[in-house]
Amino acid sequence: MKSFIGALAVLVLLLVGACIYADCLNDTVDALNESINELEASIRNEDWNRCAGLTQSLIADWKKAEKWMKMFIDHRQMDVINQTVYEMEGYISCKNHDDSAAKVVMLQNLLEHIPASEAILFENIF
Amino acid sequence: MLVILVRTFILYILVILALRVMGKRQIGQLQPSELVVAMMLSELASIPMESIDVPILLGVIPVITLIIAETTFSFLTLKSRRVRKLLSGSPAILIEKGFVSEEEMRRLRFNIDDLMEELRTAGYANITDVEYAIIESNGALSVIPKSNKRPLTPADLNVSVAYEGVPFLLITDGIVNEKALQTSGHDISWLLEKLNEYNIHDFGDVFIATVDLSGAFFVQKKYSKKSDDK
Repeated sequence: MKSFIGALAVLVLLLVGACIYADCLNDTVDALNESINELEASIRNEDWNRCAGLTQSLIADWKKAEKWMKMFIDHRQMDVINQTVYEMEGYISCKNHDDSAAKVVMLQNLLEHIPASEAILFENIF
Repeated sequence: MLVILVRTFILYILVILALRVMGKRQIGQLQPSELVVAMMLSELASIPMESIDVPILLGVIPVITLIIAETTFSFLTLKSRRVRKLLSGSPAILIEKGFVSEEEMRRLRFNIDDLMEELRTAGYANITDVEYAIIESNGALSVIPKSNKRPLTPADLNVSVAYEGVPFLLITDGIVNEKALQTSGHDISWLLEKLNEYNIHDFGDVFIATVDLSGAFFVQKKYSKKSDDK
């Protein structure tokens, strides 16, 4: 009986932890997406000074998020996002409009994929 | 490399804990669900050990989930006969009152060679000696011999035998087991006295010391050879 109650308690903790994690993940990705949207708008307007500032801010936010996300997400997925971020930074510093815009869209897609793949959906379970 | 070392230790401890929670049974005595859990535990724990790209939580959470599932099902099988039957199955009688049940053997896909092998392993080479043979839910075969073929007991000869109980392990590898000493009805001074009879003056010199209910005391010094015994 004791071990059954213990197991139930651990299950409840796991479920609560999973809800908190899902919440934090969604909030983090939403915040990063907001920054990416601003960056995308600046790239379209070719405001490269603003782009540089926004890129640095995005990189700083990403580094903070990456620290805890790496405990839950496959590191290879994180490495791809890192790669995309730094490529984007490179294209923006070279004021390359087309490649910067493409990388921004790719980064947005990669980030949105993370909470989508963690959601309790039929296609994720099966 | 150090990351793999640390992860291996963590997952090793987790798997040991998981097996402790599952209870004390040998591999051959596990129920089907327990066997599945035991096999899956090793696979799941090895994933983060092999690849540092995989977060350790992706190994820990499935292991914990399996332990929770196993504990829950164990509890349910304890409380409900129906659930027990569903998850563990029920024993099947292969030999009843000396007759082999062909129907049960066909149902279990158990051939006569398997049956004879199991009977021989259980110590009954002759099928005519067997009254009942039951396949348990864990796959083991229990054999109940005919009453005139079973081993003789003191009760059969009307012989009264003193109660033996279980021997108490008083000292293991130099360390005194206070609880066992107390349960055996003795104390430290008695133990020291006993050891002095064997020319031993320090508990740390003792590899093993036991006493049973009849008072028979056994002691072996550390690093001693058979010829050194008193």
